[in-house]
Amino acid sequence: MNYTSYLFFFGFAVIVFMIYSLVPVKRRWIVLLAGSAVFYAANSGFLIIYLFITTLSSFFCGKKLTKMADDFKAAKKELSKEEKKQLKEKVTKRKKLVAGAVIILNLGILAFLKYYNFFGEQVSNLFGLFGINMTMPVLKLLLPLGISYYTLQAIGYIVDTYRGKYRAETNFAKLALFLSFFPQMTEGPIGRYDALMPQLYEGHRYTNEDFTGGVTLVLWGFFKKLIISDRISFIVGTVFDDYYSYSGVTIAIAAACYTIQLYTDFSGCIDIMTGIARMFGIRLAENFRQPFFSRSVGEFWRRWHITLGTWFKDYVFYSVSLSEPFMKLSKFASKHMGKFLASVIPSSVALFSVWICTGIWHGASYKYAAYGLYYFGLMMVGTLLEPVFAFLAEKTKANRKGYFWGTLAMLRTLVFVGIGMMMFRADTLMDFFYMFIRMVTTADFSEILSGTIFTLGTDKHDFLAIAVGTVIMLVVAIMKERGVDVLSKIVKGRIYIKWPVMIGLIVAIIVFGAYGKNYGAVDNIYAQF
Amino acid sequence: MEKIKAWGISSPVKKYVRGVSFFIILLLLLCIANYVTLPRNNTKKSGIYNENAWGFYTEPKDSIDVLVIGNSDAYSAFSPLEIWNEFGITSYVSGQGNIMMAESYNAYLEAVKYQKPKLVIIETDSFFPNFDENEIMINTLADTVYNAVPLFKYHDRWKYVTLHDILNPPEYKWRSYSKGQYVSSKIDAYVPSKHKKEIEFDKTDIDPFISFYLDLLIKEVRNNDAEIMFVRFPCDKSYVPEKHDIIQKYADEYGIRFIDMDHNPEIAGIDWKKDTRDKGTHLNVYGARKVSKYMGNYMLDNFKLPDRRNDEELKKLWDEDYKTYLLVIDTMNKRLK
Amino acid sequence: MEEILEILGEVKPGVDFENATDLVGSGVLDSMTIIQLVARLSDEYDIEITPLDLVPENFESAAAIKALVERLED
Repeated sequence: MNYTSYLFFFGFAVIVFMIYSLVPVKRRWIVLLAGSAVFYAANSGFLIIYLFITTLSSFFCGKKLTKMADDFKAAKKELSKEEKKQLKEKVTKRKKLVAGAVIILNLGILAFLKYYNFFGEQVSNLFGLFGINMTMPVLKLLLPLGISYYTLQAIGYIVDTYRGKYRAETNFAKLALFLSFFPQMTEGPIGRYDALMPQLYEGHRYTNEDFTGGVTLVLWGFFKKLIISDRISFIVGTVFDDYYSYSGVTIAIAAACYTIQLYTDFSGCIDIMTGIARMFGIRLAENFRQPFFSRSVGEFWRRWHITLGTWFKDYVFYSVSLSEPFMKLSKFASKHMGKFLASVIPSSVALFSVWICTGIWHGASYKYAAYGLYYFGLMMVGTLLEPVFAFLAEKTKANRKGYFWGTLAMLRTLVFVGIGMMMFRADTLMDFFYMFIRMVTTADFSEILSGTIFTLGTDKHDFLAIAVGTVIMLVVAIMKERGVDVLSKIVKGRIYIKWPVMIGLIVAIIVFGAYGKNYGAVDNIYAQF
Repeated sequence: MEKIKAWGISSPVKKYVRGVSFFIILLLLLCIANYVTLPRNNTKKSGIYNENAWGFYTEPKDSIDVLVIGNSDAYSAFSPLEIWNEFGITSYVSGQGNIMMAESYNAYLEAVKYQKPKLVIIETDSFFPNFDENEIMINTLADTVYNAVPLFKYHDRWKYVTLHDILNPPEYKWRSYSKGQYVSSKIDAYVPSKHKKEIEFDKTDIDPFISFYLDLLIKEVRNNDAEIMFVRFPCDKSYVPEKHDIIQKYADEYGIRFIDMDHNPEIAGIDWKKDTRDKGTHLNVYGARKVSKYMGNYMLDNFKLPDRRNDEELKKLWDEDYKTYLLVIDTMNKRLK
Repeated sequence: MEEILEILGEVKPGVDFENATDLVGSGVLDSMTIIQLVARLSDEYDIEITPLDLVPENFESAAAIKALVERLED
């Protein structure tokens, strides 16, 4: 989706908001549901059937799981301890079967729509390798809007009811609203039932703070997207599409630019969506927490696309690492291996599963799988070398938590993240390798001095706009890092602060935004996943 | 705000006053930004898009009798100077590539501020733009917004604004010697294929976002007591019979003459080996000469258009431009060789 | 308590676990170390720690961990 879609989207949200405000508080959630249904149907047409299947299956699965847990509770009262244990095992097995079947159904839909053609191609290639001419038919598969996001929400809901975190939803319409809430349909954030559902269901009265707060956040999102992201995308596109024409320095700059582009694009969109939800008095989960101030890649992933990271932690990492075979592996390792290996090997297996999933969640290609493995590798190296670092630090009496080493760690993390971004943006994995090799072997600064940088589809004025925009964003981020939330301060502040900021944002977006006749519309990056 | 309170104005009114004043301040700033970013001249260099389409501003007032509106087919195939030289009719072709009807309508409204065309020719390839329905909708809405608020169209000019610009209001000075025609004598042959068309066409009617503005345009032209005709200029590449039928039906309904130079290729007699500059997408000056000759005769036979060669001053101006036109073609040919 | 501190020391050496009260918040215990800790605890005390127990509140301090273990032992 490009910015025009977001304008439409915002317009649509305003209409829904007006209807929302007119309906009695108790019935307001129905307006949200109807709005979401209209939005989805208008966007994806008959593909809404997929969303319906997911909603229906999770609804009945959740109900069944809760009922089984209730039955067990009722039955166990009259049983002895031994019998209890037996029954529990039996019930757990059955619950596993029910939850597993529905999860596999939903994951199956997602995997089929997203990965079928990729695997078909691989299978065909494989047969071709042996001289067998067998081609899997390529299917024209249309991906329903938001399937990568709502499927994860549905699975989270099923696993939580399986674990007994909360009771299943008894109202189908409410669950449908949770899975289809329209601001979350394009790029997330991935919501949790227990945090989101109560907010969606209870009607919110209009408050000035929520409304202006929401609108300001929407403006802030457009600021990031239109002034920084869509403008910087031209440098990125020019260099990445034609990297063999540029030297290492320019490639490195382009990689840095892409890092900024992806962040402003993705977090800008999330800001717009969070702002819209906020107008309704609904707080969506936080998805970014100044990720570029992280001191390790692990920390980076706890602050970047947070809802995806915590989802994988809760539903993949914990599920894998607390499973029975896994616990056996741990015990085996602690008995037969050294202490250090015993602690590293099991968790690394769990971590591996998380990162490979994270990688291919973004799409079916070797590139995305490698992207996941890249971070897995970085984390493992970090863990393995941690004792070495600790030893060195002790020897040299370096204060690793101090300002100097902290900044150094931050820069190191930025470099690792930048390389990851390069892989993420490159057309194929091979392109990434060539590009990377070119980057480190052709460090030619002449392109900087000759002003090549201003010929990459962005002139000096564009650079100025990008620079000013980025500095403003940076200042806001630094303030937030220090505990001052500038945006919400402004919203709560007095008129002579609030108005200039809001009016300033609107005028800046309209005048300095990279939209209109001189710019093609730039699609949002994360909407494709 | 404190003062308002002292006057005893109740809180809802206060809120209302606040809200309104917020928008007034915003609007004021946007008006300023709008003024600052307006192009200072009607040239490409000053930020005007498709400058050739906007040369009618600087022709002598009410001197243009025929206005041609449309897309690139129009400005490639219609040559006002050829028509002038042979028939003494004054015309201007205002064409923009991939134009939406909303923009055609806007071009007409702009033109009649300065000119009083007696005949308006609407080029019909622009009835079926090369976009899908969604793009047509978005582009039409964008054009509508652009023309209502030029700031959205020209905002990118913040890059080039100087103090001199701010102090001096826009003044259109540039004249198009070719009267909007895109002059090119390049030859890049095209071999029409009799069996296979390159385009897929599955429409059964004109897109509602096109016909909405087309209706407005027709109404406006008739309000101004001017005649209308539809012309499809030669472009075999994008021609399918269905397009002809849809337009013919529409033209009959409104009682508008329709000439289709692809449906009846013999009338212009285009030789696709010589008369196109880009493999059949657009005509070159040789193609335009043929089309203009036919158009001149047709207009003379069917509409009451004055011979402006009797007007000494105008004759001097147009003859001068005709000379320039010949010179440009000559220079171009030398360079092409 | 001693036992728990000992296990903690094994899993992540060089931290003052006795007085710390925001082990998760400060990043001392990340999800990797928590998993190692859980494996050791469930082995040592023969308890079953489920994903539901893996919330920050249960791991913020040695005392909190002890409380968790005691609750699960019942």
